[in-house]
Amino acid sequence: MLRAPAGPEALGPVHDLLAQLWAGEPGIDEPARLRFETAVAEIAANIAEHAAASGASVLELRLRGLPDRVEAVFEDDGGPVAPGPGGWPPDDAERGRGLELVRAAVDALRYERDGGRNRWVVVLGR
Amino acid sequence: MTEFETETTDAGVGVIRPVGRLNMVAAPRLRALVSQLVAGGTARVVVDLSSTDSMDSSGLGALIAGLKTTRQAGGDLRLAGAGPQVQAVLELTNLGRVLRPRPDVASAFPVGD
Repeated sequence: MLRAPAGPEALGPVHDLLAQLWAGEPGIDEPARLRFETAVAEIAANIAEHAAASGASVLELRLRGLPDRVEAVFEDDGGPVAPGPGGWPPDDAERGRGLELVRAAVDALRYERDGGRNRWVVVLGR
Repeated sequence: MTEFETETTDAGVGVIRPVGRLNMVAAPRLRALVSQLVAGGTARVVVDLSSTDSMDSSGLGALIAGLKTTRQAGGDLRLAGAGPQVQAVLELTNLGRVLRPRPDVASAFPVGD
């Protein structure tokens, strides 16, 4: 598990944790790893980017391999996240692709508000 | 920490090479580097991604910004040497058709283009 300040400084340790996960998951091929890593890095960046506005101070990340999937569970202590409109922005947009990219990269993305905390769950099926 | 190597080719093409991760930390610097090149009269820019380990949506946004900045100055921004993670992001976002990646810097702006 990773517990880090909710800011850009958490991004490096997130990649380190992913490397540890793959060391124990030889059966997941490179393209699937890249898609999961892309999604996990994106959620970490999303939390880091909105941390100041949302009041998040700490980010926690757990990665685990289960029989049918690998899963990343993020929790932070920031304010509730308002869902965006969804869908891709226009080609010339410079923002607004993060969560769509996550949804495209992996099999499921869930957001839950639980006891004053935000939880994001990223799922890649085997 | 992502670093940027920059050079200008004999043909007057600016080359920016992000080394490491092109994410929310590095993206503002990439935008600034493209703007500096364009302000200095270099509107044809290649972003050489051969040393870029990974890119997120912030990095992608900086490339789109650079595309607009160079085209407004009569030039263009092209990608070269993208590795598998960057290729995957371009495909997943369907922006490969906008930012059409080339194999290497030399083929990004062929002679006469």
